[in-house]
Amino acid sequence: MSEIAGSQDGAPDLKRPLIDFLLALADDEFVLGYWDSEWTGVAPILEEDVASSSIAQDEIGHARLFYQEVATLTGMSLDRIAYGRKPEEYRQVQLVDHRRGDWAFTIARQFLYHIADQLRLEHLSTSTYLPIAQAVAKIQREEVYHQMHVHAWLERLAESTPEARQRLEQALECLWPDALGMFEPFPDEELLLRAGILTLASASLQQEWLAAIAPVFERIQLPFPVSRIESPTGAPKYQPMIAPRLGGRRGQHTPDFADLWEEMTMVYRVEPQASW
Amino acid sequence: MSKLIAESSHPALDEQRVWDTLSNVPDPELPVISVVDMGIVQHIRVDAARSYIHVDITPTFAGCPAISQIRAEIRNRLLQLASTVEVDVTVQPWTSDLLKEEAREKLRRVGIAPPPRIGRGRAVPMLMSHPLTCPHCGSQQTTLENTFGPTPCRAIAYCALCYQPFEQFKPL
Repeated sequence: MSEIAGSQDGAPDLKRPLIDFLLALADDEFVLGYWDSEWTGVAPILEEDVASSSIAQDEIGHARLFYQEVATLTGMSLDRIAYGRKPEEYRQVQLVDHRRGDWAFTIARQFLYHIADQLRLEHLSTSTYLPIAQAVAKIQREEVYHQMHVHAWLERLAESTPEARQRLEQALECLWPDALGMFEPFPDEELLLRAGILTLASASLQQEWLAAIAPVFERIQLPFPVSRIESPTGAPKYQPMIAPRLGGRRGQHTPDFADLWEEMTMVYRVEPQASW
Repeated sequence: MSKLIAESSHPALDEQRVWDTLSNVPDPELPVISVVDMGIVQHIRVDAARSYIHVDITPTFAGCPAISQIRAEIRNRLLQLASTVEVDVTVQPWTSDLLKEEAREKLRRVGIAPPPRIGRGRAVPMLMSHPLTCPHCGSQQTTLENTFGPTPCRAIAYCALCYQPFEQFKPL
């Protein structure tokens, strides 16, 4: 499989799937970053006010790395890519569509997302598309602090008061279908896999994610609506007992995202030609 | 009397001059430190005959909000040395090990503890499990109060000996 060094060498039939893929990666981080930033000023304690703001800033920075590559491929401005699309042109998973909710909801969603993201980034670090591999190398170094933060909070909430635990369990129950929706295949996923741009099929990533979550949920005794089928030869296979909520990768989003879109694109839409 | 200012009246343009000029461009978030000290300037290429300078820069953290400002400032300064200046933001991963010794000393002087050298080590354990050194009094009777701080690159700590908070540059 030849290395695709950069946008000049991309084969024409890969360009659209590649752009959509980059937008999906970027939109996940962008939308999540926006919701996380809404804790600024109202987080439970001051340290978490600072933490959420800092994490949100990182997430938007990560989105920008991928948007930058889309800009290079399309010639469009960064602002237009980030803010100039209609809601149905955004490609984030519905897991990040939800508004921030209460603190337990934010932590639950962050945890489910970050485990998947960590695994996805590991696999993308060997993408044949070098700009992705390079962006991922930078992102991974920063993500370690986010991962530590969300792990600590998941445990803290699960082992705290009955109310904390109840809110956490309620949040997880609400989020499971969307969490499974994180592994909706990308448009033209087969093409991306064959080119080595994507190095692991979404269905396989889901298995890795379930295998990573299982011991954590078992240790702190959180509901895990997944059955585990032992295999005599290889790794166990996980079978979710809940249907995934799909559609995000194809532009289907929730009313929460419609609200966010209104607000986050408002300034841009007032004067799209403005230079900030 | 009109003056003809020929290109050749520019003092000799070479890489060292560019590095020297850029070592006077401050990091907007930490004005005592230059973009060179921070390791933000990654690579310089000079073509004196064509009066051309190319600079590659990388942000410390991807979410650095100052990178456009830094880029513009570098470009403006270098336009005093050459007629064509290109400044590109690359995705070369930045590491806190790029901070030079002078930068580390300047950080201490403004109350920021420089990061431990990370090498191939793991950042989070390095921050959480190693004693932090107070930049005010040098004590290690310190606690990490928050892994996150006012900017992506800084955590918040406290010194129990001199009773002062300080910022801890995060290993990355």
